[in-house]
Amino acid sequence: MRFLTANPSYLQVTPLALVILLFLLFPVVTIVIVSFWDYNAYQLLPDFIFENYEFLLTSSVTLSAYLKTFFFAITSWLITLTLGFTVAYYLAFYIRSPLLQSVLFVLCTVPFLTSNIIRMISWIPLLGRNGLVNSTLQEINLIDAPIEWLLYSDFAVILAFVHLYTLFMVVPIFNSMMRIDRNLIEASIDAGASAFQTIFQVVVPLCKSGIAIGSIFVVTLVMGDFITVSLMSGGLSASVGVLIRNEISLLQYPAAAAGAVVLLITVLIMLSIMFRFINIKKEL
Amino acid sequence: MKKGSVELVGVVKRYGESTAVRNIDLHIEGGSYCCLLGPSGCGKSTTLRMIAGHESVSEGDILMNNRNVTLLPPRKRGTALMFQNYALFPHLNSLDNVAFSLKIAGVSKQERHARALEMLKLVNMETFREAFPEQLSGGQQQRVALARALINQPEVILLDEPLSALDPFLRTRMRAELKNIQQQLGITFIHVTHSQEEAFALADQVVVMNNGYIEQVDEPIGIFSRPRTGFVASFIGGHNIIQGTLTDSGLSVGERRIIALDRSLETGADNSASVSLRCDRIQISREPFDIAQPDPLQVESVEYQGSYVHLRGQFSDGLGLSVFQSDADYLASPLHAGDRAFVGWRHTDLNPLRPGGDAFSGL
Repeated sequence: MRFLTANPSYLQVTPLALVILLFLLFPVVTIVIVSFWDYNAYQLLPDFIFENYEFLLTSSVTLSAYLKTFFFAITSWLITLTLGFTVAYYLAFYIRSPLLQSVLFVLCTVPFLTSNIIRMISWIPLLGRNGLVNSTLQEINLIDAPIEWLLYSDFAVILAFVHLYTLFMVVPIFNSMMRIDRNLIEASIDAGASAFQTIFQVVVPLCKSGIAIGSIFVVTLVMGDFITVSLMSGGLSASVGVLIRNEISLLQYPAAAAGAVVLLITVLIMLSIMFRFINIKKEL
Repeated sequence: MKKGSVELVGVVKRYGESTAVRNIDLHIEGGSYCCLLGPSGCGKSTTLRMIAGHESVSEGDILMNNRNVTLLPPRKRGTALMFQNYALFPHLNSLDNVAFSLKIAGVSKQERHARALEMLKLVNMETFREAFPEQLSGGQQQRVALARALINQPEVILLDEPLSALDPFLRTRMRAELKNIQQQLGITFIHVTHSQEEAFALADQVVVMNNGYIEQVDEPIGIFSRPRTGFVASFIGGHNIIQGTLTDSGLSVGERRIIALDRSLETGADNSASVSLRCDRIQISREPFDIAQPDPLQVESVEYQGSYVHLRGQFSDGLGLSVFQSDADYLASPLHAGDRAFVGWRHTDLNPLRPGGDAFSGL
């Protein structure tokens, strides 16, 4: 009691600490424990074995799934970054009226009014074999046969990722751009910089933190995703998330847990690299 | 002709419906220190930004060294702008901030750092070359900003209220340094300010602006001793403005008072005219004296200002006057609010004002 009255700040962090303990730390610890258990077709067998990891780390399926996942993550990251930066730049520097700025910003969030799944499914009638895109292209005689790779392909997966996550890039980048003193842009022009030089010498370095935060969002979301990949690839591509989900549906919980732990470590390593680029305190 | 002369010919700036700068003609001598002085919103900053090339000109031309630069981008004009908040790049240290324009121009790292260091030495900041702007004080940031403006050897430096972000003590010191550097380099400085004190201390040529117009262009002494309009007289302070009607015997103020004049006045419609009278040129005494007004002034307030005392008073006919009395005279026979005193002035101290235009009514 005396300790708490002397350090009231401990009392203040208790609620958050409890929430994190209950909803983050406890599940993760459970997963780690279960990942060492044994299992058969019917039940989980508490144990301490490394077989789950052994199988996971030696299987070629894991390797190809990881390669696929990295491919999705990097491609979606590059595209969302380019798109997000451009949109944020346009909103922050070209739109002068604050009202129009907020209206356009809200407009960007409109897709978020529906659920992820619905937004993904709505691509299907558009991209399918007899979908809108293919039939239009055929109608105007640009193609003879429908394009096969529009749906149920890596293209479709990445398209969905870009559609889902570009806003996560736009928001933090826009936020850091709005903090850039407009005089700095003029100072850059005064120094003789062209528009591109101003962007790369002044704007990009000054919204490095926004770019890093957006990248963290996009990369973690894509790395952990299974629903987009399975829906949009039609089961043809397997990301790490898809593997884990398959194991869960086969009730192979320890194997799924081991997969989750390895994925968690991978993502944490990626995050620790990205956090080196930002001063998180400055962004809050 | 000296390098760095600037000329504005019929320059107009409109923002949609409103006009910020109305038809300005101005010649600034190369190598001189020019201050654009005026209250906020008078168009002085807009004028500076048009000279810098950061604001397009709606009408008219801007000439530099007799070359029309109206449509040229900032870098092609040979000007450098120093911003009010200095606008140093927060992600670059002092040296790289100063070297920024050289980097843009593709100068090698070694050479641009050498030249930037030279500039930092000029402003006594070479020991802070590694420091980032957030680690520097206001005065230090200003020096770095000045070095950055100087690095391309511009012919004209444009300063947008450069001292307003500093505390008063530092302001006077930096003011002296600015003047020093200007004289050392012999380049044109155009400095925007709303402080007449700053303009008087620095400028060879003061341009007083109001409402998008130029009210007066003169040396500081000329501005203070012969303000041309009621606005100038009231904006620079220390002046009484006496309005009346011109009659054969002088300026008629109120119902009975006639103020004798020794020179002709320009009159507006219905013969109205006004003169300015410096507060420190009014003699004040408890006893009547030879050039005193016949009736006494009722003293309303007394403010001690150090080297002088500011007395405000009113005649019974409503004419109010401000008087600066030297502290020695004041202490010899202190006046208090409510006292009556006689005031007088020499006719030659009355400065005719151009009719029309309104007085400055406070910041």
